[in-house]
Amino acid sequence: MWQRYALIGIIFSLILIILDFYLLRKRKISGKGFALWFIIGVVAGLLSAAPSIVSYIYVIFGTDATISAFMAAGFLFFLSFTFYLHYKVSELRSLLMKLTMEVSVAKYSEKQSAPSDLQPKKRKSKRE
Amino acid sequence: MTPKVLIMIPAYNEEKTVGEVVKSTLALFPEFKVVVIDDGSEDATAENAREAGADVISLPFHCGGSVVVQTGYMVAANDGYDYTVKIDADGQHKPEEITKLLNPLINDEADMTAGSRYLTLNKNHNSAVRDGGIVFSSTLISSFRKMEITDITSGMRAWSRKAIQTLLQNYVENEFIEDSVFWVVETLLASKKKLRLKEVPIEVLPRKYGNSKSFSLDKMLLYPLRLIITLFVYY
Repeated sequence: MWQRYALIGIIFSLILIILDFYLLRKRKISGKGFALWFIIGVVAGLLSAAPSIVSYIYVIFGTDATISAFMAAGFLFFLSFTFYLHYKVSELRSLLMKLTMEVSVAKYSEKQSAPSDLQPKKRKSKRE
Repeated sequence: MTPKVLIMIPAYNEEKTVGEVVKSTLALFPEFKVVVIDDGSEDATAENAREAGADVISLPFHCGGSVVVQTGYMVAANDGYDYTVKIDADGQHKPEEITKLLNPLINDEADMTAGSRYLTLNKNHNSAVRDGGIVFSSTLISSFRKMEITDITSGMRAWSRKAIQTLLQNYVENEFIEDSVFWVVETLLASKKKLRLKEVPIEVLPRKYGNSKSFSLDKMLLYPLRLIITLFVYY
């Protein structure tokens, strides 16, 4: 049977994937962002289900450390926080684009309504 | 009464061709308003378009095709245009074919029209891979939404006022759409909102300068994945 930490990891990755799907369906995250977090969720789930995969990383790096509860919790927190930041950046990007559009159209409309021969008046210098 | 028509020409670094496109369009349709939407070009695109006689809307930085087209929709909605037409600034679309797009709208046969390269025999074809991709995605969307689409990525399009208002409302409420799937999303939205879409045959000329900005290797490789995600979201 799975260890408790593995179960926590699997539940975490499932929540991540479901949230990812939910945000995509609600059109609050881009397709690119969805794909990225879906892959991260699947990888996190796989690593939780088969923690022995992680041991290969130790072999590659030549270190000898076991996963501590602190490290695992830190990793989950890091993933959650990055996901949240990604969502916020996505939201802000969307707002920025809308603002850009509106400002550009407003500037254009202003130019259209202004008389064409209207030139900005020259400021009088203090000496004059 | 002559309908009020807006011709929008999105442009990004097209200084070599934009002037000619604007001039030839205005020569054919002097009564229409031609607006070039400059997507933060680093060259003289805006100046050349203005000199040729177009109005220019300059976006402060490069935002991508999806934002540029939606900016055009905003202008059309704000200024109350009856019909809006979009052609490319690279000279691949023939301005004389604008009437082909407008006629079904004026005759109330459709709410939006799209030019298709695949309705007639076209001598100016893209690469086999690109053609294959377009045919595949068009067939996929057609079968999912029970529509008849042959050229889903076509950039030569026209909309009625009703179509512009419906689509714009939808875009404002949602996350911005990636450029590569913008026309796919629009087609799916149009189908969902019961807007009538009609394709008309057009000829697309080869590019005179530079390469297409909407086609690159990474976009081509990731396109099937994007298409599946888009279908999941908008189907």
